[in-house]
Amino acid sequence: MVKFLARRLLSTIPILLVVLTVVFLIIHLTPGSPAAVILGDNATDDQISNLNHQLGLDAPLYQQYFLWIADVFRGNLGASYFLGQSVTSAIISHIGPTFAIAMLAEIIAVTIAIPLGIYAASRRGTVSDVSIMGVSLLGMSIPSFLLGLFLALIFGVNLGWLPVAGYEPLSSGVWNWFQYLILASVALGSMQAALFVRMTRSSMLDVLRKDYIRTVRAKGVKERGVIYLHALRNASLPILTVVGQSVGGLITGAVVTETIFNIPGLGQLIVDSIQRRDLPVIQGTVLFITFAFIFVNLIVDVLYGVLDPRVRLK
Amino acid sequence: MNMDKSETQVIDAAPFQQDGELALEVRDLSVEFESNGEWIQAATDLNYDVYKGEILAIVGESGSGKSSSAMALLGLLPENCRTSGSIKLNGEEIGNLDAGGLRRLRGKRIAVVFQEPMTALDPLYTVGKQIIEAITVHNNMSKSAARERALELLEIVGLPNPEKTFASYPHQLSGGQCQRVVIAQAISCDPDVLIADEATTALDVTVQAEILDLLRNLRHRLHSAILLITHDMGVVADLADRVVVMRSGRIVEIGSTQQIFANAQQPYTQELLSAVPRLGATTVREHVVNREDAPSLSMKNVTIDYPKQGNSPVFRAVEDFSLDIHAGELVALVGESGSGKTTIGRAVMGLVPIASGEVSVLGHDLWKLKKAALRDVRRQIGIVFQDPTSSLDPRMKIGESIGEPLKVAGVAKGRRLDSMVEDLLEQVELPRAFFGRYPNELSGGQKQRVVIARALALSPKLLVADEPTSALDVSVQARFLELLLQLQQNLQFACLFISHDLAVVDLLAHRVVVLRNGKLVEEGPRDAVLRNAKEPYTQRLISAVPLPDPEAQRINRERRVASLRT
Amino acid sequence: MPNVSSTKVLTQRTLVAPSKRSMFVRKIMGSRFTVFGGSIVILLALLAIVGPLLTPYNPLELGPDALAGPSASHWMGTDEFGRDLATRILYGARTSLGIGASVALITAFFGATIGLLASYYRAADNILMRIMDGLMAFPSILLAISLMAALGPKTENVVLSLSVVFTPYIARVVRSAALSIKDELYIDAARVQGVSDLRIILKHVAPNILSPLVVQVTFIFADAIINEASLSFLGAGVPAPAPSWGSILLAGKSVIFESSWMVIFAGGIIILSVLGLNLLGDGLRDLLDPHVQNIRKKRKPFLIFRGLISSRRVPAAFADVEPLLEDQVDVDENPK
Repeated sequence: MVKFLARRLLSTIPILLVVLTVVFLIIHLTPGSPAAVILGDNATDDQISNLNHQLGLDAPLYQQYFLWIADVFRGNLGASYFLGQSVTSAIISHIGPTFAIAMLAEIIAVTIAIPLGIYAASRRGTVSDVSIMGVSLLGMSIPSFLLGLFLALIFGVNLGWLPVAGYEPLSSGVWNWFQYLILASVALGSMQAALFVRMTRSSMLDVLRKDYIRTVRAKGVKERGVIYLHALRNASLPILTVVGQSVGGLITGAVVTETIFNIPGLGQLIVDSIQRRDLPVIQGTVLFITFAFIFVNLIVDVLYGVLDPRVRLK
Repeated sequence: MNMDKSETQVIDAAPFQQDGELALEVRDLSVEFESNGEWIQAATDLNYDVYKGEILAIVGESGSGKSSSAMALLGLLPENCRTSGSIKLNGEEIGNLDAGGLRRLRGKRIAVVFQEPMTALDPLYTVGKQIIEAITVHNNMSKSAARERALELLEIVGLPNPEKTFASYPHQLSGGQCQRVVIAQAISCDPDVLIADEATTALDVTVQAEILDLLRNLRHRLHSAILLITHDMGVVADLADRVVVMRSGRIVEIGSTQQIFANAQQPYTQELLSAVPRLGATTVREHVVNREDAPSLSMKNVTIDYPKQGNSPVFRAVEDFSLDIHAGELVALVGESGSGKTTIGRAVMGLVPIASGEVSVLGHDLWKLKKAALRDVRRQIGIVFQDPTSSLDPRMKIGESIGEPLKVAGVAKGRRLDSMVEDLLEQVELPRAFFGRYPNELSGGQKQRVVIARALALSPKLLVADEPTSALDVSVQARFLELLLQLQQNLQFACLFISHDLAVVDLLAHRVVVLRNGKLVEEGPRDAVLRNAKEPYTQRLISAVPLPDPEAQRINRERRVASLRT
Repeated sequence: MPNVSSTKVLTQRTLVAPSKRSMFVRKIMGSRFTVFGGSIVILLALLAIVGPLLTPYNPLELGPDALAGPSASHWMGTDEFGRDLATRILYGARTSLGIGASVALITAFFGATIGLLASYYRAADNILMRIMDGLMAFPSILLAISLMAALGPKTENVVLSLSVVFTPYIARVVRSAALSIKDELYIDAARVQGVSDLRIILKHVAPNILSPLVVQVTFIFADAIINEASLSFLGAGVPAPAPSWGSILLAGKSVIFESSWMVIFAGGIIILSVLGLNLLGDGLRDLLDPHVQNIRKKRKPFLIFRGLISSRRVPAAFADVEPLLEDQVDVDENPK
């Protein structure tokens, strides 16, 4: 098990390196000097080259690269050009709402989708199976930001039940906090839910076809036991993988969904920074989110080891 | 063959315990499955009885419906199947039971042991938990009592360390051990009928012999009826009291084992029996090999390692192995799974790198050649693999597949290529019309002939055949082996024939090499190895092969049991 | 024992049979949905090509009444500058579907090349696939946004960014399909008989990976449409005033209180096209993919960091396949 974990950790190193390099290259190959962006249109060439020097941007690219990587591993993501704070603190001040939306969305998706997927698999080929699959295909075809717009239109504009935009922190009361997040979370969770339903169903069907399920049936175990004790437990491994990967999809969706509901999360931070060309913030936030994503998948791999004796006992 | 029901002659003579009680009575059982809106018959109007304490074998080749009809007894068929007829268990009709009734029956009164032991157990639970589940599903029993019973069962099926096995996960056990666990599970509720569906087919012969012994002991112990579904006449001869022969979904013949083997009435049964190769039955063949010339294949002190992969360390598959094969000679490489025989075959083809030693084909050291030269030498090698389906590109026509080596080598193209391919088809006794067909339109035996045709396209000097018949039915196998022998006699290529089946090897080989755990155990002319083996391992291997003759097998078995005791 | 052959039929009833209805439903699901999805895609493609020629309006020309509801002269109403919304959506179809199709083709080409190389050469596998893993570690829109931020908002850049984002997904699928085919014995047979690597890749491997490739490309097409819309909606995609479905949505969002038509029509057409492509992809997978089961069987389950290697979509390896009859029922092997 320890060996298994060590190997998992080792295998993330090249991925981290690629991520770091790509982020660095994207930012540094961007045409136009950051100093010019910060100083605005009226800056003189002298002012620009001075600031460039101050920011260390006139050093050779490889030097900047290694300095930057060293900084990243010290937890220093640099300072924002515009916010007057470090990138790290900018991320910390924006992470709350994004984390809340993502968690809510994940909870909604998992609690609805997995039971539906199991149900569809156990009633394979029936009308309810086909209906569930049809709805899930539709769900997969509605991007979360579109669903967000529609939900805002229905519940915010037409029915007026929920606020269309904005955010209040948890300290202002649970309902206050919740009512700003619920539409965004539902919008965000629906596509994941659709994916989970299909994934759960196909993993279940896959397992139900295995020889050992036939053995379990031949023992006379009740269908409920076959489904929950054996099929679901085996199918939970691929389902877990997809749930882990969904974190990426949730963040992807959150970036856009937050702008619809004007929620001051990481998505909004990135979009605003892009408009301001605040490179350190873009760089830092993208890096932070990607690392978080990698970390979640690492946890999924560890869970694999917990759930599957073939991994644990090798 | 089109056989009407009226033609089916049922012979019923000297059944086991004529006065015994009936365990199972099957009447007019039919199984159909739906495919593209049509109902296709898998089994038609089957009638047979099984007595308590009796072992009834249902034999047949693939497509005979033997498995589906047995699964129908339990209602364990896929969704797109339907069955009709009457099934009586201890005189009680079970054919009309609903899902719940069938479920209560399964495991308690009819239990099954399946073919693939390694995949038959849930990988996420310990063996003990799975046996306890089988017990507690049907019995109201305390946890500790069920545990006691499970341990007792593990002991009964001959697992040496029940406590340890109880706590093991399936992946920690060998195939034979897994099969014993599955059997323990199956007998946990003292079933009236135990179905063994090709239960020993996936196992090595020595393990198979042990499992067959176990089943024989259990039959005395449990007084269950055992329904033995198999394609292997040796297994039938070893174990069965009576035999049902099936073909294309119908019963061809029923009779006692003695009678079927000694005096089969139906032509199909006779054909089937005569197609079964029998170890020790072949007469001595005159064979002269010119050993003056350089050998076609020469392996010297070859060692092959499988590199470290993930967690598993370097694995030494073959160690210090040497072998020469001359033109016109057929050498068989035999061994059980994991013996390294397939690895050696792949090394000869240059598909697996060797760690040390030398492999030369026609005097060229394969691992010292440049790429282009290697390609030229490889063209002198033909290969036939075990799995005919995987051996042919599903998207290429048969003609293209056979013609590819010719085309690539620049031997011929256009019309000339086509006519050469047609000649090759003729050589392997396939119609020319197969030229334009796709592999999925052919049967397994036909595909294997295509593979041979392709292997012979460039008139190779060496043919490597890796278990070429183990995926084929016996009757198809017999015809294929005949063809191979004839081709080899005509074309005089050297042949490395890799097989686990000693009876087949006996039929073909001039020399036999026995491998175990990557090491050579014994080597010599066929008769020396198969008739007068010196090494105990070879002797054990030979005695474990069940002979397709009840009397001979009884003697063989007794001798084997006696030798194991000493 | 009674004489078996003379026994009369005791019972003749169907013991276990699936309901007719469930089979019927299954069949419809298999084929008609595919045809339906395909029709939607073809119809939208035709609209994108022919539509702009039929409309009397110019997509960029400002009109007198802004934000008008649907009427006889403006079927979908007008936008905030009084431009005909239907016309803009038709021209937007050119942009959005064009971007989707370009991304699909470009990723198909590069993804297939990388996947094939990686499956065949160890060095390529170690280098190229590590890069692909790294690219896949980014949540897709983040990478696209960053690239757009670097490259600047231009239609070509949208194609470029999305191609970078999605190539790894194709490469993964192609690589695993190719690896499973490399395990097939006919590849060994070809190698032994002196067939060159290049010919093996082109003649044996490539044709056999075509089906998973086509299926995955269909899904990428749909994903690209969604991502283009997202980018444009964030103002980081197709620049104004050129019409694209995403930019129409962006404009519609700011006037959602006054006129919801823009959001509804533009959103509806996005959903329709993505749904069409998803249906088509699903159907194609079932139709074309006899290897799905092989891939599943041969995949090493814990090879490397699973979370990142398989596609974000339901991986082909987990696709639901009809149970193969041959697996469960003895089928006559030698029909005479």
